[in-house]
Amino acid sequence: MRQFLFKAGIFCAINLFLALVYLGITQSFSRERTEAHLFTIPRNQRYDAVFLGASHSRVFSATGNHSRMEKILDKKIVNLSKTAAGLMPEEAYLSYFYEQGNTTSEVVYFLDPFVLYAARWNEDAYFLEDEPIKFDFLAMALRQGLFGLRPSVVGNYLRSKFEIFWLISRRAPPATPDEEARALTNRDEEAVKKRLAVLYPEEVKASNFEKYKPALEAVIRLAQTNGTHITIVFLPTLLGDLPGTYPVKELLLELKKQQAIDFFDFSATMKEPRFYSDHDHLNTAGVEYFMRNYLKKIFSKL
Amino acid sequence: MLFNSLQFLIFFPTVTTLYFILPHRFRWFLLLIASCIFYMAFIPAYILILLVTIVVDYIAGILIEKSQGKKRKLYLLISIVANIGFLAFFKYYNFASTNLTELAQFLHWNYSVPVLSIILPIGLSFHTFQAMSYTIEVYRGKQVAERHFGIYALYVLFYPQLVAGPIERPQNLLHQFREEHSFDYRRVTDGLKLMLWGLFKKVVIADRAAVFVDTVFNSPGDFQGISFIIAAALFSFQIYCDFSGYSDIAIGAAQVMGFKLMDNFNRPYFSKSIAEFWKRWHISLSTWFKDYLYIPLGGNRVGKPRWYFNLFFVFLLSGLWHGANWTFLIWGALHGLFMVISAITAPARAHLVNFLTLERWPLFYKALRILFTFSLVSFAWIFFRAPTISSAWYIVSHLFSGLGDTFRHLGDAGYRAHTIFLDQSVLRVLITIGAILFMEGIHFLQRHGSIRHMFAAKPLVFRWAVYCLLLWSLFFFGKFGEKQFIYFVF
Repeated sequence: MRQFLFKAGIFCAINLFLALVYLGITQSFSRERTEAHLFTIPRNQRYDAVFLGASHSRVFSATGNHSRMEKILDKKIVNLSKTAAGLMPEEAYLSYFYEQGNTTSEVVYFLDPFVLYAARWNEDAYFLEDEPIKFDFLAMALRQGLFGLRPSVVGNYLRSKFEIFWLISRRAPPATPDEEARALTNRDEEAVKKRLAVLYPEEVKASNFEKYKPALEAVIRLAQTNGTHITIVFLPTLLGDLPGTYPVKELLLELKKQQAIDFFDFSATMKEPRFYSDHDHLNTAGVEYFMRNYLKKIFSKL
Repeated sequence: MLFNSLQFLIFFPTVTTLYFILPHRFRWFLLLIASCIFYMAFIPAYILILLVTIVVDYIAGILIEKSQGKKRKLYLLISIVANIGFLAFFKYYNFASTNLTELAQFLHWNYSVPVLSIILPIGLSFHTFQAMSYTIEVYRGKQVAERHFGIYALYVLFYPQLVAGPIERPQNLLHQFREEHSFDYRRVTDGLKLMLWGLFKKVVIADRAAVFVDTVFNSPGDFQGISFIIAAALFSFQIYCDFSGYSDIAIGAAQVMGFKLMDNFNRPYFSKSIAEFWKRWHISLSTWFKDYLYIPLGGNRVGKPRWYFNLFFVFLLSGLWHGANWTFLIWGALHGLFMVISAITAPARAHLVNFLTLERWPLFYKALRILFTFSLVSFAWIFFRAPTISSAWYIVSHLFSGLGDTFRHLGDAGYRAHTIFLDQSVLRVLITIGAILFMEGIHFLQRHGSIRHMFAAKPLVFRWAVYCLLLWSLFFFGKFGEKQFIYFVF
């Protein structure tokens, strides 16, 4: 047994060494297309605003949009929105942002009501598969018990870095301006139905809303604890009335009364398909229009 | 608990370490508790079903041994009825009731049988057959009835092979629980290597191939001929790697602790006939059917019509064993038909081979037979995999549709991506095909014996480099997500 333990120890040590070397090398990889925020959240920086949200606000930073947006708003912005990231992932990013010594006076959360209705956007933590291994982030998440960090989530986070597809995605070219500028010609009911089925993988239940409501409150609390004002925004969409919006809106209006948050609902605006690359993502023209006509006004009021 | 789960990654080393630390007299108890925990990780309450059958078979075994004449048969019958009863209720009740209701509707009878909301206990068919082999062997006088209840319970519950086999025989397994297994470096490392190989087959080949296969079988209407042929061939490898991967992990895990389980697969896709295929595929089940059904029915030592019936009937039941669905029955019937046709046409085929002088080119002839057998097996797998008979029939009837279009449009990237690559990226295709070729290459090298012996002669650095590569390839090329093994539901 001694021989086995000795050899097993050496075998493990070799593989651990190789794994650390590999992780070290991949730390320097680019993340342009992959939205891996842990690569890019800086240290000790001051921003005018932090954006939170899912893919719908991620488009604000796609290709040339980010610099255009900063120019229109005349603000220095860090966009922590991420595809498929709901409340719990966004809370983790914001928390890490503060942990790194960064500051901001404004958090704008472009909230999608569907993130309050499914584990997929929250504790399943798929967003970690796209992120590099950052042990300080992992330690922070464990310490704060963020997104219900379970052994399977941590295991998945670590393992996913050794997947060939993750490695390749680090080198993926950014989206071309043409892709971002693509415009929808008309609203397709069938496509809307399919899209809603993706966004709502679970039934729209009051119990789910109750389950994820504290996560929204936690994001608000986190911003406020760090001396940041928070504004919650519903973005324009061509999907129509999203299921489960009413209780979310009720809650936000209530929070607005109680906690001095700001809340703006633009979901009924910008109904022209030319502003969208699909039924729920603004294209370059849509982003620019939204910035000039809506977000700029919000910032001027703050 | 799945072998490809984080839980098992903790469970296995813990149980194995405790096993070697504990004195021999306590080890059976540790394994029994560990096996219960392993099983209860699925649906805890179902362990009670196992407990009932264990008690019944344990008592039946002792009574059979003690009794004489008709009483022996009676006790055996009680044991078999109890085992088959549970199997029938949990696995076949709803299938039977649904079909009876449909038949009644067809005949315009006002009759309906209620459908129950029950979940099939994991691996029920496996441990039921293993338990039945015990009482049958005791009845035949080939096995002494086990007096130690804990050891008998462990025979049924032994965790490595509890939920998906190999279906063991009491003569092979029971005595091993009484033997003291000391830590043996060679045996332990061989077991671990086998587990690693099994895991490679599961996560790199089976689960990757599943993505392609599911795409086609879940919506056959979106595809045509060549896609069905590719999906059927890939399913052949998926199910082989899924099931043999499980068997490798089971055999390897048992081997680490000093137990020798029977081999379950022997390079089945190198078979030159369907009969040979069944000597190489799911060996523990095919020998079970042979020993306890085919031979008692008379085997081939009867008139030809009866022999053909025996062959067909055994394969039909084998299909039913796999699942309560007409698709499995058809799959079993197809294999039965292949066997019967093969037996009937054997003289004519021999003449044809002589006439064509195929024996002059043995390699070509062998390759032809392997390819033909693989095609038949893959064809039958279509029924095994398809969720319903109608979708299986759709695939079978469109198997060669649009093949002309395929050749005409091969240059069209969009067409190729959908029809040949089944909407998956080129990299995914390359990984899956590459891994299958790698595995079959290993199988080819193993034709003269275990590759482990050849490997042992290589320098340490070379061997360790290969182990590291295999381990890293699991992570880099594997598909994770704790996908359940296909045979768990049988």
